[in-house]
Amino acid sequence: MFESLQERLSGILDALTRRGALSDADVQAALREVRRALLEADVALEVVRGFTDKVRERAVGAEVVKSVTPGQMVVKIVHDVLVETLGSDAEAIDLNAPPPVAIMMVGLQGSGKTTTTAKIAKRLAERSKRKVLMASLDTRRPAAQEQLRVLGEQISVDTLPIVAGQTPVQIAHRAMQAARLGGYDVVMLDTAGRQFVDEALMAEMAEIEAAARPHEVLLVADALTGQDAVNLARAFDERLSLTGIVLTRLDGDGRGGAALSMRAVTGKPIKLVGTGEKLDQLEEFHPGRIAGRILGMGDIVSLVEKA
Amino acid sequence: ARSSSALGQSLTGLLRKRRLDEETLEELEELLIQADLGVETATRITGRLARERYDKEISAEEVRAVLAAEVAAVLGPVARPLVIDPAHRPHVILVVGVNGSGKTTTIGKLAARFRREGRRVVLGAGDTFRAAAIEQLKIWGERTGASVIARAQGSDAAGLAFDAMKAAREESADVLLLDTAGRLHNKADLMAELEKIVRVIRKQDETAPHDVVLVLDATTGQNALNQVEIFRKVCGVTGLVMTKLDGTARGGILVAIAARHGLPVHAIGVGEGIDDLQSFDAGEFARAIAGDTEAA
Ligand SMILES: Nc1nc2c(ncn2[C@@H]2O[C@H](COP(=O)(O)OP(=O)(O)OP(=O)(O)O)[C@@H](O)[C@H]2O)c(=O)[nH]1
Ligand SMILES: Nc1nc2c(ncn2[C@@H]2O[C@H](COP(=O)(O)OP(=O)(O)OP(=O)(O)O)[C@@H](O)[C@H]2O)c(=O)[nH]1
Ligand SMILES: [Mg+2]
Ligand SMILES: [Mg+2]
Repeated sequence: MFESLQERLSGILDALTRRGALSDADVQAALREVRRALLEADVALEVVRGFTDKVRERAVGAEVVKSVTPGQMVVKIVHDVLVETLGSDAEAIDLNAPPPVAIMMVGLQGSGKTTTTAKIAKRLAERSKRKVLMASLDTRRPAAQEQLRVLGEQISVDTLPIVAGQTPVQIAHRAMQAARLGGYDVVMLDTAGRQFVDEALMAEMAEIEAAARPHEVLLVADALTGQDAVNLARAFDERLSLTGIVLTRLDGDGRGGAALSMRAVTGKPIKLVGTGEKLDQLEEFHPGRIAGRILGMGDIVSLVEKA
Repeated sequence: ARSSSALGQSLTGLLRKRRLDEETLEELEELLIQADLGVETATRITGRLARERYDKEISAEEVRAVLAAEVAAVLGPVARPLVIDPAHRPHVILVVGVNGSGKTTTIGKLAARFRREGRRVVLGAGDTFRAAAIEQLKIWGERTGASVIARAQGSDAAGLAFDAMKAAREESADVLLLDTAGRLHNKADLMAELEKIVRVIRKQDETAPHDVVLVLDATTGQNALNQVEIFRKVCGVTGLVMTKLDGTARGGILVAIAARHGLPVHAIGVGEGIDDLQSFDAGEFARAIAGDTEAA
């Protein structure tokens, strides 16, 4: 079903026996296939446009090294631009602020916020030896607060006691208060899922941010997201001081184009990725891996690198 | 979908164009791609449009209408409601899908609908894995007046399916809605568990499950095609529900899915509330994709 960019490009470019620099026409033909490959990987159309422009600039006139085909050369350039756009350096969660440091989790319904909240808490507690408190501000979804409480038990991280009838903003205040009094280093604030066109909930989310003044505001988004990734990332970025993105469900077989879309429109780093339902399945983001996935290719890049 | 206004705007930009030329077709194709139809489906639809109207004078309104008609032609045949067969006691509906797609919520909404129709409903808490998944379903049981069959978290999901079948039969329930844990279709062990659940159900009623509903999230892009393909293979999906169409999520992948699989689309989710489940209207959905601001 799935044809990698490399295979497609070889059809077009490898027919050219000509060596030397890539011509404008070569690149033009290749870019049509690049565009299609990116769209099939769910990279948003507007991001694809800007991206192919960048690739064109870099590719036209590029010298094709002896041991590779023009197709492989173009793929290598596409790959490099992908990695650059995705953010070459890994950025960790930043705890460099006076405790308690608040980390607020936001995103669409079902994207994986609550699970990721627990995963990050576990990591900060175990690896960074921080004293962590988790609080669920989700008063909407049935059993959402209970879900976080159970996860807290599983990872031996404290959760803010559930008080019925409080608003999310009130819970945020209570969480910060409890964290100060209890000497916690970090407070994880899990919020309810929301559609970004839901004005009331988007306003509520901004209020929570104002109340808790989080040091990190992480957008949790599904790696399987389609074209809407740009709109959702932009909408959350406009209403909050987003500090990063967490991409979940990378254990799926999705191509992950949403990563590029969201990174490109917000400029915010993808800090972590979720690779399963278990609470230790949280990893650092590797742009190279996502780039390879988006392009659906194996070792072509290392091949060109060696050349 | 509210996305229609954004698409509507870009289509209005076509108003100035008088001919259905290459450029216009390309713009239409891009509209469809942005609605998640995928390159292949988008190209096929605009191709059909081109065959019929190429180089003819056409207004933006007409473009919109013809485009909507092409999309509706694909979707029309799949708009089919979930029908409960009273001969089954219970009519067993297995609900499956990837993580977080909206299975449990959809079960709650369906239960509410069946209860309104005066049916006796049993819910099986087959997600024995995720934290508080059982509590979540129990709350939906309370909201809808359906009884909930559950075991402790961590128990065997197939065992729970057995319990739920047995209880629903003993209660002489009209409908059994069986919830399952979210699972990505590329995980062989979890998919095997689903097969086992189906086997256990069949042991008690070889005609069951009478429906296997795959719940898809409208925000999902091209991966939804893989989801349908594999869930269908493993557990014989008989119909779809698409959730979260209250966002700007466009759900256009449904067009590609309809073209390839022809599976019925039973309903759409348009919110988190108990009444936020609507029957799937192909025409309305198509108009929203084509940018008709009156739709949705
Ligand atoms: N396979 C996989 N599943 C995940 C991952 N992260 C979360 N999940 C699952 O996705 C589903 C939804 O996760 P939640 O953490 O409840 O999502 P949420 O964003 O808090 O959902 P709402 O609060 O309802 O908006 C659950 O079944 C999780 O187990 C991941 O990285 N991989
Ligand atoms: N806006 C909106 N939210 C929905 C819709 N359907 C479900 N949700 C929300 O999506 C989130 C996930 O829904 P669930 O029903 O828990 O999803 P699930 O598939 O059972 O999730 P897992 O069991 O964890 O795999 C919850 O926050 C729901 O309230 C819908 O149609 N619109
Ligand atoms: Mg949650
Ligand atoms: Mg569920």
